[in-house]
Amino acid sequence: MEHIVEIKSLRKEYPGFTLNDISLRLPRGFIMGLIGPNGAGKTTTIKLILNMVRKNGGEVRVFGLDSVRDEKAVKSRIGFVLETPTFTSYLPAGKAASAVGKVYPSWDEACFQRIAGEFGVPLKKRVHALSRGTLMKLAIAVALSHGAELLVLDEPTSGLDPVFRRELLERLSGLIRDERTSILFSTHLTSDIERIADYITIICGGSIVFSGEKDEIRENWAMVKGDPGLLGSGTEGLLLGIRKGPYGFKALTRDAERVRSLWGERAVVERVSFDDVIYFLNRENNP
Amino acid sequence: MIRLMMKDIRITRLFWLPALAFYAVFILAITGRPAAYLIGHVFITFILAIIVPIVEYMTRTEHVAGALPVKRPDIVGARYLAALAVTLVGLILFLAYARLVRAVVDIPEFRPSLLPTIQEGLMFFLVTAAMVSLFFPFYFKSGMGKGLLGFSIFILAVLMIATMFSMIPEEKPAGTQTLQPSSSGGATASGSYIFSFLQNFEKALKDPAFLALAVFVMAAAVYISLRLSIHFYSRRDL
Repeated sequence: MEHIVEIKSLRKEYPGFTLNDISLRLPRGFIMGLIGPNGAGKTTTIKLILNMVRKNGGEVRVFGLDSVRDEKAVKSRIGFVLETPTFTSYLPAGKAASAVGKVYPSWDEACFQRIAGEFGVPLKKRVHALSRGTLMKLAIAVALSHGAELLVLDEPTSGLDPVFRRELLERLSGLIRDERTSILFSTHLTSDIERIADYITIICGGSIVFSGEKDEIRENWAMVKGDPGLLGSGTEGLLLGIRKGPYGFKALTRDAERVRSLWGERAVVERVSFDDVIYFLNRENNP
Repeated sequence: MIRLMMKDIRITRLFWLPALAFYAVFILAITGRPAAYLIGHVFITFILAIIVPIVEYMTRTEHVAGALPVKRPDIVGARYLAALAVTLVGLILFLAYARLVRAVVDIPEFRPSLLPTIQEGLMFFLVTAAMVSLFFPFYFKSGMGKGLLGFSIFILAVLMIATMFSMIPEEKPAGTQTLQPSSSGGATASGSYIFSFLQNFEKALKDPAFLALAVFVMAAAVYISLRLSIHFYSRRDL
């Protein structure tokens, strides 16, 4: 299987925060969601892929090329949406977007005009007068208008109304049908992940706690509830982010089958939501 | 690099019109004061040469260039090229504007009396290039906010040193006057010192050997500045 993005042991140190030993692989033609609490390191990971920040160790390969050595070739094939402003605020939206887009060798102005029209972006309105949602639409229109094979999107649905968010997610989902385009996007909205992601990478406290197929979580992970008396030897590593209350405990497990075989009817094993996964993993990493 | 430079020009061309309008007012206001004319031109051209970083800072888009398909050294190169283009246009304006106004305006009172010489033009170019070359390493190392602060502190330090030099009593033959009265205050003293330095520099540029040396020194300074900027920017997190 060809991997569009391949990250190995990536490391970035900031004062007070370290993104440590990040490794992930995104196959061509799939969507990967990068989820985690605020400050977990999602944006830093995206910036490292785009070579906007300097790594302290590890390797980032995109399209099989080194993201630093082959920076220009790599980025020509990436469409990006950043969480922070991208366009010059005093210009009309169309001109501001075209100014950025024309830096790409394969920029397609007609395609941009068409997509922006479909998204309902008022291209003659000045950028500073656009809402956050419309700005996001504009950024996505630019990202889709130069034949990118990889879309790297940092919180693309943030600030969007539910209707457009759904439309956008469907559109992103449709993009990968050509089996050429891949998408890596960060979000803290787990419903986005549920809806379109094939692969998930969960980052907590600067480290990856899971990276793999979404179905693996659906099939193997679970929420466990039971009497605190069950907790003891033999359960180390089986339960994550244990929350004890007066009537029992609640925890996350990566191995629902083992919990069932260990405790049988004495514990309740339920399907886990992605919100719960994030919550309990964060508890596990920040007790 | 050229694509990025074109993008930079596209997003900042809006600022050329007010600058041109300001030229029209400014040139009439300081007619007859060559040093003020030169410094005013240098200031306007310098601002236009660094308008891209200013605009990016004000619109909080400094990081965007780092995500585009351009290598960091090319981003730096594009900014230097844009600054060079602006300085060359500034040079043309510096040399031609007064002549143009003189040719167009028929009212003797409003005709600019000074017509810059080639030496003054060269001096304008060298001084502007020096300012830009000094500013960019600060900017590429620390961004616009801290970079401008560092650059300003450096310029202030130079002015303070110039002031101190101007206050040192010179040993003169009997009967000659000092260049500036020492009681005129620090700022005035340093300003006069710079004015007289510029006048002497302009006179010296008439000597071909000195001119060649000045051009060589400036080319070397621009090269060092470029290398420093690439070094700093290549290591900066955006």
